[in-house]
Amino acid sequence: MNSGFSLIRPFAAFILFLVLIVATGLLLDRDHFKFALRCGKISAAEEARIKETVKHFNSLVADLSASMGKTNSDDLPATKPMRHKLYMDTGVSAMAKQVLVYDLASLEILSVKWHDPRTAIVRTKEAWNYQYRNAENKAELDIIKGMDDEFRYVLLKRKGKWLVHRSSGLLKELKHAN
Amino acid sequence: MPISILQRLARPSTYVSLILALLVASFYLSGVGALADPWEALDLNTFRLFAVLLLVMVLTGLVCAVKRLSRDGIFPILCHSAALVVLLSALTLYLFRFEGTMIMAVGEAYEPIAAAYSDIRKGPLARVPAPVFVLSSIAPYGQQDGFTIIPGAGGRSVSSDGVSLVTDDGTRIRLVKRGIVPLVELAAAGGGTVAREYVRLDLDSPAGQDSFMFVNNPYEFSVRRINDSADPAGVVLQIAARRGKLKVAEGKVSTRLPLKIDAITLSIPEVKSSAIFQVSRRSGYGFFLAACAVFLAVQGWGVCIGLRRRPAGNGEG
Repeated sequence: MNSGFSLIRPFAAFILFLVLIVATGLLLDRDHFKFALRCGKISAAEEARIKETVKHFNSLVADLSASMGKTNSDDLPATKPMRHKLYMDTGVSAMAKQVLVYDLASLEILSVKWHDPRTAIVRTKEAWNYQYRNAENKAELDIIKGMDDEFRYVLLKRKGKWLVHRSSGLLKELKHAN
Repeated sequence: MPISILQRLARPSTYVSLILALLVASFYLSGVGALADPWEALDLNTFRLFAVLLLVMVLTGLVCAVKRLSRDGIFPILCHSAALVVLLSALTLYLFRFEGTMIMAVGEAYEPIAAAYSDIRKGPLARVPAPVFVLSSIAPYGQQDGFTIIPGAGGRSVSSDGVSLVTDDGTRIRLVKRGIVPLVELAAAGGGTVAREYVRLDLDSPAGQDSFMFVNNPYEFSVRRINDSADPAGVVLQIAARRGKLKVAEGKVSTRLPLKIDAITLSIPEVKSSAIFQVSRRSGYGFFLAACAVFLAVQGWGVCIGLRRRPAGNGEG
């Protein structure tokens, strides 16, 4: 009986510490502990924020391209490498004295997955209309064309905000050789 | 005799409970994917806070044990000292641990720079491991798992034991996947090379594809493997070139089949086999395990002493 009794205090201390760790974690490391308490899932509200970030990013990308990088990009939810990629693209167009005008026709979120509480992978199906124009007088250089494709975004959560870190078009099986 | 809260907290039974609670929490967090591994728990403020508390508890226990040396004997000092060594060795292990993922082509020499890695998880004071070796060969798919390196400045080659190998400086190299490193060449229509680089690709990633860009070139190339040939020269890739959102060109590419993109041509004159390695280094891991073993032995000894004393009526401990 005595030896059994002696284990109660350490066990009670263990439970108490565990509760304290979780409570402190929910205060100081909210993302990680909430993710863990949901058994490795993010909340519906967080998922909605991720989807909204992808939509907002795409609307600003269109503005950035049309203005040849002159749009205020402070609001652009993108990490530094992603911003560099976007500016390089507009810069190369500017060197060719062209501007690419995009118009987002539709954006459907196909899936949202996450590696950890601060990394999300989003797959989308997007339809865009686009046209090349002269950079100086905005004269049309081509007819308006349309395209639809699937994209994959990697988003990172930094300082409470979701930012697009990478985006790439998804490859489908080729139907014919080039 | 009234016992202060700090003295209560400084009991081994209390701080062992805290250690167990921290272990359970960190393993649970890594188990559900909130952390990549349990050691990353110490990157979180919560765990750092409790680690400091733990250190204070053990140090307080040690100071109290030294003060009561004449009354309680040497055993409590031994017990707290063992706990302190475990904590310090764990801290050292956390600060200097390194784990990274990299792609190396056959014939390539290892470069001890962070840029050579695609993913790094390391402690605040850890450096990139610097073993000197050249990747000599990789066993093809379906054959014996493993790879061979030539350490130092040439000499005898060393083969991996299964999929991993430990170098002379204690760096563990583990073969995670096989990949390819094609030499990609962009040639202008009017002649002249726009870009010519070896590109490291992980085509077995969860997305099933990889992408690359060249510096000062607006095209982003997405790559997928079509023909899973054991011979790198027989590999056929599906490559799409994009400018921003727009897909400019897409097609099959091999060492014999180029792809035309606007006014340039993409070709792959050569494809090398590559290995995707997980390189890790845990300085002081052996010392940490030894410290844990000593601590457990001392605690076990303490429990035995306590159990022997208890029937005699000594309930305090």
